Amino acid sequence: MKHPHFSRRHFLGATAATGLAAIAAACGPTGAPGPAVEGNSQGESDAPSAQGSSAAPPRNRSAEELVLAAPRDLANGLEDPYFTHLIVNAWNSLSKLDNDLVPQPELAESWESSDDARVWTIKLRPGITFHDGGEFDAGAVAANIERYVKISPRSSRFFGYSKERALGQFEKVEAVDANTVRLTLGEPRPALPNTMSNFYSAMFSPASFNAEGSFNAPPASTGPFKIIEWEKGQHLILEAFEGYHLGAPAVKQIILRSLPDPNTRVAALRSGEIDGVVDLGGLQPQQGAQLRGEGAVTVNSKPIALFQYLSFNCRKPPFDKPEMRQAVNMAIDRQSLADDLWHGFATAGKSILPSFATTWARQDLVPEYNPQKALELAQAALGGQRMKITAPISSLQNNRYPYKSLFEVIQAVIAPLGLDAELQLIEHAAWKEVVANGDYNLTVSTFGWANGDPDYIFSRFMHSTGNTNATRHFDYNDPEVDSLIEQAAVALDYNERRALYDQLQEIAFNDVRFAALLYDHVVFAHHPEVKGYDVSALYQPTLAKLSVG
Amino acid sequence: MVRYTLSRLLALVPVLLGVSLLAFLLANLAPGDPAELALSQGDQEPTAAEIAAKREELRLNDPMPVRYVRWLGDVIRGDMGLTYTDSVPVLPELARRIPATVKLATAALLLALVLGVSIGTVTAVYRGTLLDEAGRVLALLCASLPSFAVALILIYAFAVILRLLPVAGYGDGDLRHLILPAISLSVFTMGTLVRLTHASVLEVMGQDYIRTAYAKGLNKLAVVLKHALRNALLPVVTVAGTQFGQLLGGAAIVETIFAWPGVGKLVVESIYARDYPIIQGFVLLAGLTFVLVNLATDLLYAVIDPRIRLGAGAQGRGDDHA
Repeated sequence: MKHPHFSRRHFLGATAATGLAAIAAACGPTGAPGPAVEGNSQGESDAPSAQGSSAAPPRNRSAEELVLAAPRDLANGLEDPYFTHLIVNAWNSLSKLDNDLVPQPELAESWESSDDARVWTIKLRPGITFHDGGEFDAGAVAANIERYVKISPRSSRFFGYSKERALGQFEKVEAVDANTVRLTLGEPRPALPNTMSNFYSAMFSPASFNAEGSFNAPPASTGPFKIIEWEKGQHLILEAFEGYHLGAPAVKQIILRSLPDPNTRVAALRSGEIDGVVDLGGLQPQQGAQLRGEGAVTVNSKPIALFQYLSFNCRKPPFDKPEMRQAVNMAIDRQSLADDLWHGFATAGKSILPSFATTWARQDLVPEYNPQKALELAQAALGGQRMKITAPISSLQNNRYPYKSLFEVIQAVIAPLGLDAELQLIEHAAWKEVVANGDYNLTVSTFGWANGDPDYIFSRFMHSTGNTNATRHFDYNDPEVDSLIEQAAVALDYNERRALYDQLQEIAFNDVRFAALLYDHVVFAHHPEVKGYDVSALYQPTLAKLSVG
Repeated sequence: MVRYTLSRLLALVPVLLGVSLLAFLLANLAPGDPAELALSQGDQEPTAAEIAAKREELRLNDPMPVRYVRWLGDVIRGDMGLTYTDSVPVLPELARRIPATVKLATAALLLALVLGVSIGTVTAVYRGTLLDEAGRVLALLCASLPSFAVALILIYAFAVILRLLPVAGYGDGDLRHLILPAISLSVFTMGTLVRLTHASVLEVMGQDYIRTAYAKGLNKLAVVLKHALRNALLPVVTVAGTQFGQLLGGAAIVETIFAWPGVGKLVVESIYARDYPIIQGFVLLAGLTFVLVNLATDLLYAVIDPRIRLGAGAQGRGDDHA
């Protein structure tokens, strides 16, 4: 049967045309997501817009502008204590952790404490200016510390501020002279350079915040890049700060795009739409391995202050018996996990303090991988019986790491021990609640050692009042352990502290109420023309050292 | 018609109250203490004292019915509270994202309508031919492929390999940024509309008045466009209306993949951050949008087919056609 008046060619042509017209009709000049939040720009700027860079792949890579992508928005608004993440390189702090997690002066030039570590005198580097032209001096430092004390506790998507965690018992801060600040505390605090490192002493121009401590606009600081535009959830545009005290960056402008989907980030990298990926979880281990295999982009990794660890509920059978905890710990081949599941982007865990932090970590505490001995221990503890255990996993952490595969491996290696593990992949808040209620036997999670102070870990994990000890049911309630932790926190001599933390590491290692599985590496990638790309132990990229060549 | 409209509007009140109750319970019965969640946005774990102070600040110690009534009152006044992540008011935050989502959903719906109705009509008119078979396979593919898979395939083809279109981003007013997200979002709806239109046109083509039209000497194009399609489109209009509501709500995955700054992406981010005030706001907004779009569809249907209106007037209800 013929249909002379309604040919296929006509129909297809019309369909294509109307399809395009449909899209065009929906794309009027209106309908933009509206202006960025109030105060999202700092003065007028003639910088090219972010979408201009993204819309025309492949782009010409030059020192004038680089585009990097992160899985999240690296700014968080005027109510955030720091406005941007450390990664952005917009601000500096008085003290900064180096790659061994040892605090080094950044905006400070030096510090010294009184004999009792209660009064700290901080000398500032001279000749530093804020992005707004204001002078960085003792008055500015005092204003910043007073601001932090006033806003504490202040929630942040990056790192919530707490004056107790940063300063302990704060009493007062004084500007002694233009470049000297005196901080008086109510208790000895020998680890102050650690506890006020990075986020906890980020410095901003006093003109940037109001009497309540909130920012008036994206704040001016002293970092190598200043914020010139923030479109919430989309991008952050940074401009090189010519007055940066360590020399102006080579790259004039950096656009940090927020691309939450991991596949999209890799596609953007492959297409040349972005020049590199930053941030924790910017590339999953498997993606890093795949990109490295393809060879089109440069893939690197770096050990960071983050580790994956096993938690045992020590108040419930079977892990109320130390032998069963040791059996599970011995049945796990950490090196295989690092090589096969993490594709080499992790190091097999030893002590609870990551081994690259050589100032504190004991290198001799290496978990034994011995399936046969594990079997013997389990048989002795269980008497040949089989037990069902529950192992919940947080879906949030599963998005960043191959936790489900990790649990399947653990499930397989503990089955011969007589343990039938039921995996439960659940929403993060539900997982926290399940674990805190003690309705679990075994779980794995991630911990960030944010300030390089061992007390940060031991007071949480092993002190009888420690939050992690309570919520994970490690069941530490030992006056001797408490005493070691309390002594170490106020010990003034490094060797004395080291000896105390050595003891605590050994106790933790032998008790196996928790156990380090893997020390994490951050995976980052960039196009080969981008030079000087490295990251710190807190996964801060060296944006000031980037160049194109 | 006025009476019909008023009765439909009144029927929305209990629905919206139910939605508000669900939204409220979502945050208050979900695992985790809202005060702790509000303080746990970063890597830090708040102390018991900080949580207690936050509970007091958020007035979480009051009985739940009291909190619901207070919250509902605030919502009616346009105050949905502050976000946990950055302490900004929820309503302006949602409102700021709505245009991008509406733009995407509108483009997707128009695309789905134009292609879905066209393909559905042609496959019905050319029933049993190769074109019909191809159309059916296409419809099945569209209805079966999840939007995220379509999105990733399109990105790989058009952005990574051909480098014709950007991988992601909004691009103010730049048409190229809309193309891939709109196609990804439209495919499922398009598949549904192809099948629906196909069935509807086939049914109409067997009616007496179509034979009469042919008998009058009209050509096939005129019969299809002027007589068959006009009547066959009634169910399509209804489904397209409900599909628009689903497109608005279902844009979350597509928006996240394409970094499209709409409400869906905001909600996905809020779910990961456990930012319940935003999620509550979205549930309310989505519920409101859905019932309003359904209402508009019903009213449009009543305009197109007066029998619906009369039936509703006689029986005091308007969803007889549903």
